[in-house]
Amino acid sequence: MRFLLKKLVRTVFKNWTQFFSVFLMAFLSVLFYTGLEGTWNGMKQNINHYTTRTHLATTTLQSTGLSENEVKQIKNLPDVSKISAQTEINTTTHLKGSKRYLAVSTPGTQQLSKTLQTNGQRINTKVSGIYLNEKFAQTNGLHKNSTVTVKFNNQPVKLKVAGLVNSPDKMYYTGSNDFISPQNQNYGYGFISDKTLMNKFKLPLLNNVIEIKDSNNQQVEKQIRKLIGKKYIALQTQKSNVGIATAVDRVGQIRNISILFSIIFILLAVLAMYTTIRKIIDQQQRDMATLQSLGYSNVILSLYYSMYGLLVGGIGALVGLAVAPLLSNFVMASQKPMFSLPSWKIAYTVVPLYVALGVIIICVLSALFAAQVNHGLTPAQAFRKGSTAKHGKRVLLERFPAIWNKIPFGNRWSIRDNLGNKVQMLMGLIGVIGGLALVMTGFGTKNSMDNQVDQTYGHEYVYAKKMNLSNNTSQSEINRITKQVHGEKIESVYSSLQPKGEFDRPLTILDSGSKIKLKTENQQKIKNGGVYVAEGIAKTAHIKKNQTIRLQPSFSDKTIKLKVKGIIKSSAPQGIYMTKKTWQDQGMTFKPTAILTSRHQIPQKIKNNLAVTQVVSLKEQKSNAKEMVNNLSSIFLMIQVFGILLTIVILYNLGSLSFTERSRSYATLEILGFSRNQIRNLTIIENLTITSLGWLIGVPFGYWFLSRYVTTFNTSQIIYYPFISTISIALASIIVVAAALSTVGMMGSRLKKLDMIASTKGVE
Amino acid sequence: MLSLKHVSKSYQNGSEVTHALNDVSFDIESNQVTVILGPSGSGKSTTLNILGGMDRPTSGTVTYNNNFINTESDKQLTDYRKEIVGFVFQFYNLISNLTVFENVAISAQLENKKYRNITEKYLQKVGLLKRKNNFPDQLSGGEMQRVSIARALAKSPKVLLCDEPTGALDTETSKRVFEILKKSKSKDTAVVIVTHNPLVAPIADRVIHIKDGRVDKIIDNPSPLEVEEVDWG
Repeated sequence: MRFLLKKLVRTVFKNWTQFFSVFLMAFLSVLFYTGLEGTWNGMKQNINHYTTRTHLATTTLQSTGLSENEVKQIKNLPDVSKISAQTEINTTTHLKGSKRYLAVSTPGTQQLSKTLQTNGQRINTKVSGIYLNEKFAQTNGLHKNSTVTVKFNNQPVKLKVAGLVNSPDKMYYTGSNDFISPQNQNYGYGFISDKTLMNKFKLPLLNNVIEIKDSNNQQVEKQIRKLIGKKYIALQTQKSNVGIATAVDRVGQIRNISILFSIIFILLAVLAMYTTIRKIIDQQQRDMATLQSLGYSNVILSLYYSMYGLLVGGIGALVGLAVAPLLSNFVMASQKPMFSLPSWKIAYTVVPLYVALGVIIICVLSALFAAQVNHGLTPAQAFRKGSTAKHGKRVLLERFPAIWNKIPFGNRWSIRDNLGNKVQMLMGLIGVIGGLALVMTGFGTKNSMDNQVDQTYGHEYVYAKKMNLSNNTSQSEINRITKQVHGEKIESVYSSLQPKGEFDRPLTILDSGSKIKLKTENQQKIKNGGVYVAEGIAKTAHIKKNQTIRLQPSFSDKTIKLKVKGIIKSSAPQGIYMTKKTWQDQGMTFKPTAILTSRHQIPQKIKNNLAVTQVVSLKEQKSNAKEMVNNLSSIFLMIQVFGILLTIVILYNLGSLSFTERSRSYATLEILGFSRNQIRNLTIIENLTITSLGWLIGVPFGYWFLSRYVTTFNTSQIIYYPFISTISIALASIIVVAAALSTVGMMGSRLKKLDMIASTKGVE
Repeated sequence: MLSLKHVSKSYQNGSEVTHALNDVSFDIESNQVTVILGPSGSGKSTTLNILGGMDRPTSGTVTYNNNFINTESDKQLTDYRKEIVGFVFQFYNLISNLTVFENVAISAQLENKKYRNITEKYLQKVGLLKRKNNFPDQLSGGEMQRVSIARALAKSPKVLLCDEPTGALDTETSKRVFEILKKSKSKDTAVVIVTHNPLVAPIADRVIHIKDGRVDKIIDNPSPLEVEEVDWG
């Protein structure tokens, strides 16, 4: 076995280009899984540790404000074990010359969703200052002992920064439902003591936010609704709370990517290993026959070939494991700007070791399987097999002489050769199809997300500004402002959805107008006489058109029953919609929460009006949404790079295998008088044929793959529809074709070294 | 026609230099069968490679019709192989995935647009026209060598170089192959057969004996025997 091992090592070195592709696939599959596991598992553990350590509430009740007695009653509910009542108010401040929005809250008992201080004193009731969230403070240049003046009800309140904190229910903090990505500089949160609230803000404890630890969300929701009636706004579970769910969803998204792409690379490793070993066996047929005749058993020889899998697959897997932390840290770093976590450590389970082991076993088995072609042959048979001419086979295309006869002989040769060697051709096709699918997915995922942003903030939302209104604004004041800006009103509340609604969803009631242009799957506008549900909700809650659903909206103790008139094909937000008339027909009062206008300039007088809490421009919303897409661009780039790499490696491997097999024939052609260019053209045409065929299958496959892949980014708030621009398809095609043709260039150098003299000798 | 003057060829093998040919000079004439005879390792294949434009000598000159071959560029050498030389290999070197017809035609079309007729003509000449649609693996060794000869002849070469053309064949098949090769000489075409088998010598117009990389002797044979007249043992 010692000498066989020497032979093995020398063969690997001599044929390193072929084994390199096996190495690379083994390496990439382990790297991709392990690298991304380091990120998602690290995030998962950091989140788990954070939420456990801070006793994250299972549900958060938002209400208009509760009495001490009501708080007590909630605490005594059978499914509730712990509560923490807080008062939350929305304030504004001016920092670095711009208006900032700061949600200020009392800390409650700090037994649930406990804040973690990163700088300064721990939160206590005696401190008169404000604890600011870390990212808001940092981006605005605030630190401990800085002074910040906040405005509440137009009254300034001066506060000293007592420390910097993070709250576990705000791991992903957007600060406003109008934005989907954090705007750390513009939106922040802070904590003040009960005493500060009362003394400086002149407010009593409102108890409008109750953190709850319960054992049954849905039961608790029913019980609380019964208890507090119209004071109920929404009950957010960990699954529906954007601040928590987005972080948890991101773990799932990265995990899905790691599994999906590792499987692709493992499959390619199998193919690369199988074809490479088959070629090595073909090349070494006479060596093997000689060894057999010397007394080496078929079992030993099979073991010998399986060692190739062990050696190459093993090195690939080990290097993959070794390099993985770099990828883990790279992806982890890309997530930091979006989330607020106390720790960003990468972490691994034992699964990467199983994946590495699995990759090695798969390589060994595919090598062993490939080696079975010689099993059962006597040495004489093996010798004969090594010296007889390869079988020539006719192909289907020859039945069409009109086409076949026009094909030059050199190309007929490569067509027959390829079609007669299905595994090799399949590998080439898979290289192109897989590469194209990956590059298309890399471009397409970004296109899909960009398209979602463009659709939402360009085609569905067509206002210029959205003016959010204070809860206690009178109808006459709303009407006056609406008239001034030629606006249209909407009401945004929350509503439970029965059956199977899981948690409270956003419910939007639209007044007449055209600033929100949502359409159903059949391109129908939202009309009177029924409710409309976004597609993502419809899927998760199994809601069909014409089905009757029950809604229990915020600020109401009523349950309304309505027929689903249509499913809205919209990415975000995933909500429920109806017209003002439908709403009022159910006996509900239309209380606008925002005014939409086409005006780009809002008079300062209106901006300063206490009824208008905030003015958001569609442009801001759009650029904020783009930021979220950009945050994922490192992952898209990674997919594109791997796609290009895959195409080059697989096609080079294929070309290299064919070249080795055909080098004698190429040399014969050169002796006959074919120029190197003519021979090179044969390889180019062959390469182009496989690339074209791969492209034809690859484009629809790539789109299908993209459509599956974008769904891994779906959350309870946003769903993505596959979209890839023509430019992206063209670019992906150019990249893949260029990658495929670059392998011809690499072949060119081998063509120069073609040994004509050796080809005149016997077959070895 | 084709002339070697003081040709030497050395190979560097690590620190060791192997002299494959040493000051070899001889001429190849058209309308003649020239046999280059020598034992294994004598340098006859190196001579053939230099004659065929597949290798360059270390020193000396190779001329074809007074044109220097040894100084030509790679492209000119390719043209030389395409236009002047036909090559018959010991192990046939047929392309497995091309039919008999296509194997010959791929060579014929290099020089002639009416390659179909030419291909069929030479397949007829070697007696394999009926097998034109077969693949090489469906032929016997002798048949494969005849296809190889047809392929070489289809280019109408001025020099037909044959490297141990019967080395892998039995006696009866070899005789048939030699008959075809002998008939291939013409006023425009020289046939060169490289072999270690001295029994081939009587059919040649000229026999060049090579030993240890040198020309041992050159024997001109004014009345060569027909293949049938030779005692093949």
